[in-house]
Amino acid sequence: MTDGPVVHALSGRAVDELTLEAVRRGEVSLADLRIHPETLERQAEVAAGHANPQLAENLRRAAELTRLPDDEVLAIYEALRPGRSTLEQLTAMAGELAGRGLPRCAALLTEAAEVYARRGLSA
Amino acid sequence: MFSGFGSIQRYDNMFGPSNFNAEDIDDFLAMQRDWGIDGGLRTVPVERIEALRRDAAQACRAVYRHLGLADFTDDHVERAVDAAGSKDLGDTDTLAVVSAAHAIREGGLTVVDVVAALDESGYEAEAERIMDMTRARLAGDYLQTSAIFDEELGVLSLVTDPNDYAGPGTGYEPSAQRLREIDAIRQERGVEDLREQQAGFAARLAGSGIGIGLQGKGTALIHRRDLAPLANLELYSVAPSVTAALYRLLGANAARHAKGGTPDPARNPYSDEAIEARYHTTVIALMALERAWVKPGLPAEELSLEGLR
Repeated sequence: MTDGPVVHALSGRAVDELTLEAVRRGEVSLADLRIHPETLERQAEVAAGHANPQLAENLRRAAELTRLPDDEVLAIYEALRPGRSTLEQLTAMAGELAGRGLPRCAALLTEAAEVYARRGLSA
Repeated sequence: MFSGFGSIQRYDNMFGPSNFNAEDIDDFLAMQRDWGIDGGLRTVPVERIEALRRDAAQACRAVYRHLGLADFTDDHVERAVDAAGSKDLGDTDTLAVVSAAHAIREGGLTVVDVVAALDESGYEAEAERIMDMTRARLAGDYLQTSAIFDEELGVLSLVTDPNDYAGPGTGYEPSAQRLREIDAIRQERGVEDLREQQAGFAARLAGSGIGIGLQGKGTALIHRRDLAPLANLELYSVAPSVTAALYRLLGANAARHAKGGTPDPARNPYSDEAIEARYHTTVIALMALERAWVKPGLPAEELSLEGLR
């Protein structure tokens, strides 16, 4: 790990506290193992600073996704497979994500809805 | 150079075959050395690999047992130490696999449970290592382009270890220590060793030092004990082009070489068949027929003409 700001898990705990001792005391939970959106934002800034805006955007979408449970992330992934969703379904999903404060993911779904329709990849 | 160095047999992972895999590792290590490049791999002593694999198999068994997923027998663990793939594990209990998968999914087992299981089973170092990995995941430095972990789980990536190549002589140079690793391949042999191994087999057996080699694909040749494989005395054309008279001359010339006489130069019947690619499939088919009869490892056999006359 590099020197820099203290890294936190999604739970808010400092990563340095996540030790074997903590596991032994039964003090480590699943939320302590998930990445914090701040960490992803910081990595996005690094990527952008190294001429990789696409990776930065990807990491910022990932930061948004930390707000969703795994099941929902997988459902979006499935919906984005070719031929699984209609333009309307993807658009509706985008609207819902935008309403829940995931604008970048919503934008990706909106773009996908349009591109899939144009390329014949809609259900 | 290629997308990873797989060691999983194709039958165990049909999605993931790499164009190089663990079966080629000795070739790859020799190429690293001979070309003087760092291809990222190193020779590891067999004893070290065996010990590591045994530790890994036993640690896995301990975790499965601790979590109540499955009980593996000593025999199964021993097989796993030396297994190339699942077929080497003997009869496996397929239902046990299903029930373990079910227990992992339904029980909501996480890496924390695995760490605790390792720790409580006496694998503290392994438990610590997995916690290190977990913290590294949360730090996210590995998400950058071309990231790999070094041995201390530090991240090398485009960010932390940028490509500063600016023309010949400015790129990566392996350290002296790394060069020693690259050079230390396990079948280190000199050119002389190779020559000795490859010297004409028949010629080494013959008292005269002169031998005749015949191959289904054609190459018929007269060889001498002290010569390198391609530096033979006489090389005849592909088998279908060689006539009975020419084979007789081959024998006669071999005898002349053996007796120190003067061989009568053979005139090779070079033809399209001997040269053009469109005949190669036939030649390869002939070779395949011959290979089907080969029994590797047998000692030399005395031949006689009895029964042929």
